[in-house]
Amino acid sequence: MTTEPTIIIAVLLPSSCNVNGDAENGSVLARRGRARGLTVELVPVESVADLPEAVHAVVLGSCDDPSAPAVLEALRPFHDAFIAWVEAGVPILAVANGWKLLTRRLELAPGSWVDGLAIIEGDAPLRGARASDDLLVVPAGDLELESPVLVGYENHARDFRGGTGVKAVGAVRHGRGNGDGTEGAMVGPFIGTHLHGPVLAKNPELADRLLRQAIVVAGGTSMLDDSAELRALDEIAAQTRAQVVTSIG
Amino acid sequence: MRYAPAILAGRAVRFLARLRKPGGGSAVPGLVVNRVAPGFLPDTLNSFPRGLVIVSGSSGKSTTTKMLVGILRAHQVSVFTNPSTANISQGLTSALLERADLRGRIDADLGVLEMDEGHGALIAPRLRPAHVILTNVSVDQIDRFHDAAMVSRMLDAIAGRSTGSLVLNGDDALVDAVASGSAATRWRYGVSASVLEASPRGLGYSSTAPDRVDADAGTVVQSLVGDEVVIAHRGESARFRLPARGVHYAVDAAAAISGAAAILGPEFRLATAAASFEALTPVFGRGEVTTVRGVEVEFVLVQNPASFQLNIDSLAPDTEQILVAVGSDVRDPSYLWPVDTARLGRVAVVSGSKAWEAALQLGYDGVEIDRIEPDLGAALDAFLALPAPGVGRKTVIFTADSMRRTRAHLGLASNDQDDA
Ligand SMILES: [Zn+2]
Repeated sequence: MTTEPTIIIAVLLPSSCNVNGDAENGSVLARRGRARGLTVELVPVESVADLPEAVHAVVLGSCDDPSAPAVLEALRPFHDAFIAWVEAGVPILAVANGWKLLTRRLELAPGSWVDGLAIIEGDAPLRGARASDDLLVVPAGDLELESPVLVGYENHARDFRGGTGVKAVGAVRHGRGNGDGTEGAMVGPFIGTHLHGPVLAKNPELADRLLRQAIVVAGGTSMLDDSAELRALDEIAAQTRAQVVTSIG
Repeated sequence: MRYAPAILAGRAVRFLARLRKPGGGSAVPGLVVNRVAPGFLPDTLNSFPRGLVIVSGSSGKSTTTKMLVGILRAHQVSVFTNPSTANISQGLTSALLERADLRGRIDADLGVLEMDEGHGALIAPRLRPAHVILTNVSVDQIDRFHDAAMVSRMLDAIAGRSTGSLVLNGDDALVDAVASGSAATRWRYGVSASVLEASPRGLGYSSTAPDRVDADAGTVVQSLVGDEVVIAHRGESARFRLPARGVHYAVDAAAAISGAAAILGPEFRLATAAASFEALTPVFGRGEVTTVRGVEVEFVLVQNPASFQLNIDSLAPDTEQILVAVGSDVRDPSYLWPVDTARLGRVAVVSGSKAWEAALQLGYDGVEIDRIEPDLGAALDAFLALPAPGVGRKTVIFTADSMRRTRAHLGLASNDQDDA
């Protein structure tokens, strides 16, 4: 029996990037790892000084629009860390504004563009009207998920136009997503999405995909055992998804 | 006589609405009058001899309004106030109709209205309130109010209309900053440093001010033990019991005392105000204890993440029988996820149209769930039928929509539609 390494999950800027509960996805990953007997450390990171030496998964939630300029400045010192994480295959989940601040350019106010961290090729123009609705996404084949649909909620003011090398997370079945029928951005281990709030709790298959990547990065071998505790939670998640899908019809 | 036909039309519709749905307060008559005589609402509201008072903010409006009305009536002032659930234009007009004479006047010295921030900002340009009381800014109802800045802009629009005084929560940095150019007299209330320290998660404000309100100049919650509070007001202090536990009720009481002092001027007596709390029954669903089907039940209303957290943190320890209901008023429950629900420990029933997502959050927080029943009527019946808890009271924690459905299902009258 081998000793499995500790999985370290960094949640970036949780004090300003948890308006819709997106930062809670870090806790969801931690809970799912611990239920499988893994040792998981969940680290809130408010500045680069808080970064642990090793990081095996990263969660960055969304901030509200008025705080976006300040959050952008707070994120800039993380530029090199993001590049290193992408290169090392560290799974990153970035939600709504948290993701848009990592693109090349975003339109903060009408006609007023600022440079993002340019981790993800593409830009984020303002939409005519805010998108606020249930969002259903047929996941891209690359994600290798069995579920036919990712379910969540979107509430954002900007679309996304991906540049070279950026793939979509999936196709929009209901809602707005990127504004062109696609939703989200995938580059290597990076996933950006408008599915806000507890997207990993609602879509546990996606959570386990990120967790498996984190285990690999940490040098572990665990296959993610079945867990009665998670079966109960995942049944509730399935009912949550079914309730949304049914309400949309 | 300008409004007589409109008022009579509204009364006729109200009567018909009652025939169709016994006991149901309806927004339909208000809708009719607002169409026939759009000036009725502002004209009536601007006609009180001692003026109009508006209470707004993200949470605590209903409790503050209720407390303020109690204090004013204890000072022998006749008050018109709106039922807390009727704070939209049509509902408010319907409530006014019940009391207005055919000239559209109401026989009361003073009007005290609770208004939600979005609606208040829309109607504010047509109102001339003598006093505006603001509770707090917490990110609330995210579909409508996208961020705290938008909420504070709405409160600013309401506050800017005050002709006399502004009564402001000095602990909430966004509230404290509203209407900075206004000539209205500013009154401030808040909590002491020790009360703030005893709330490790803060008071649920979007932005807490760095400094506390001076008890010699303002109104300050000095201490709080259970439901017993000490409030200092301009150098005096009073000790009394709140209608329910929880630091947010103590802050609401400070807001009401500060507001009453601003409105009454030299007539105000702190001892009279303190005594008025004894007679106060909690607003339905804000910590009210009621006997239903022979069982004592405590009802707790969740208006936003901040009040959800504060209510969980102030539940009596070892409350062992809890029903949580999250209804369709919460369009997207995501924003409740930052709330730490672990302290609930175990929940007997999770209900409401958002029962599954609510249960998902509780489950991830490690709360044990006995049953998930989205049908609220069935959930309430099952919950009330459970054997009496060994410790504590049966406790129902619900959002506004579930509160209305609960009230209808159990045949409970609202206790806040009282008259002067
Ligand atoms: Zn829709």
